[in-house]
Amino acid sequence: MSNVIQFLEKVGNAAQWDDVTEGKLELALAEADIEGPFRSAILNKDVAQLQVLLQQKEPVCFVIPGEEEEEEEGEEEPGEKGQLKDARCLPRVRFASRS
Amino acid sequence: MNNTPAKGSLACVGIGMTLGSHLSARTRSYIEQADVAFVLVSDGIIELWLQDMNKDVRSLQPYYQEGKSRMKTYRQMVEAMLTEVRAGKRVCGVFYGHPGVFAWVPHKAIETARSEGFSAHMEPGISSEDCLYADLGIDPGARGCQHYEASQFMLYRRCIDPSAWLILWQIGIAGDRTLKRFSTGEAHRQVLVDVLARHYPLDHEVVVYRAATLPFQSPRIECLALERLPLAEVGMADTLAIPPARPLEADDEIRSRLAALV
Repeated sequence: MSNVIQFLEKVGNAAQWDDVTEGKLELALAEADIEGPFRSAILNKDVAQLQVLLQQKEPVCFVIPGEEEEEEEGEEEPGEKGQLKDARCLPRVRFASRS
Repeated sequence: MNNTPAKGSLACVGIGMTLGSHLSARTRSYIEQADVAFVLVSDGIIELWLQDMNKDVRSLQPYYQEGKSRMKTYRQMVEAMLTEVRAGKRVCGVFYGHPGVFAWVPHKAIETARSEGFSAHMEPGISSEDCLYADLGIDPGARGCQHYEASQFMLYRRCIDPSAWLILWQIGIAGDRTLKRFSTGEAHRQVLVDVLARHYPLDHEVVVYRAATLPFQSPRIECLALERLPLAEVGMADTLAIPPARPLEADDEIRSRLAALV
């Protein structure tokens, strides 16, 4: 499995792989000792199959609420109605005054 | 009085969108040198990749649960990272894209760490927004570009400029007020279309976009008429890009004033 990840990293960080021919990609997969099913998934650009083979499912990737609900303790959160909670939200930044 | 800074520290870093393509050397060193790395990424294969970079990699995925408020999930993620910071560890929060763009958890974690006297830093990464500009060939400086979280866009009246681009994030859960779902459906997206129809014709062409997460993958770029959006297949990682629907409108009064200055 780790050689598959290493191969993907190698493909990801070098521009030469953008327009590589199928033959050259097949050769590189063989040289990297990538097993048959993984090799087919990569050659076919079959992301879903690769995820199955690596026993991965689509992760949840939401990291922001559209509307924040209040904490049980009733603490206010920054961002609601466009208000920043306090100066700790801006510890490194001073906005220039227009006056 | 002891002015020695607390020993624990926090770095929230962005690894970009595509495995192997966007990770900076500096971000990699933050991950490798951390005592513990918490990861929240957009592809399980990327999580496998990160596991090779540090001996103590902990996924934040288990905190998500359908039916549980995402605000509770987010607070638990912050607390998980801060618990280790308070224990004196160098903690790295590893997030897909840019850790400060449409990302509540890293901002809150850094704010909390600093308020408790710990050193905390945000290291930028290549965001989905950056990939969108490249993949769709948009220069935000050409016509202007507005960004909103889709549900927030629906829940509050916003002043939209239809002569600029409008980008709506998290359209997969557009209109969800419960914060407990991982998807909303046709009915919710119909409401979104109705809101957009205040500013755009229904036959206006829009783009459903998703950045590539694996190097051999292509981004999703699906063009469709706005009115077709409710029936479109929309996933967790999809974004809606709406091109300008009106020409730029000249401000003759300001132009005259500026001309008089020459």
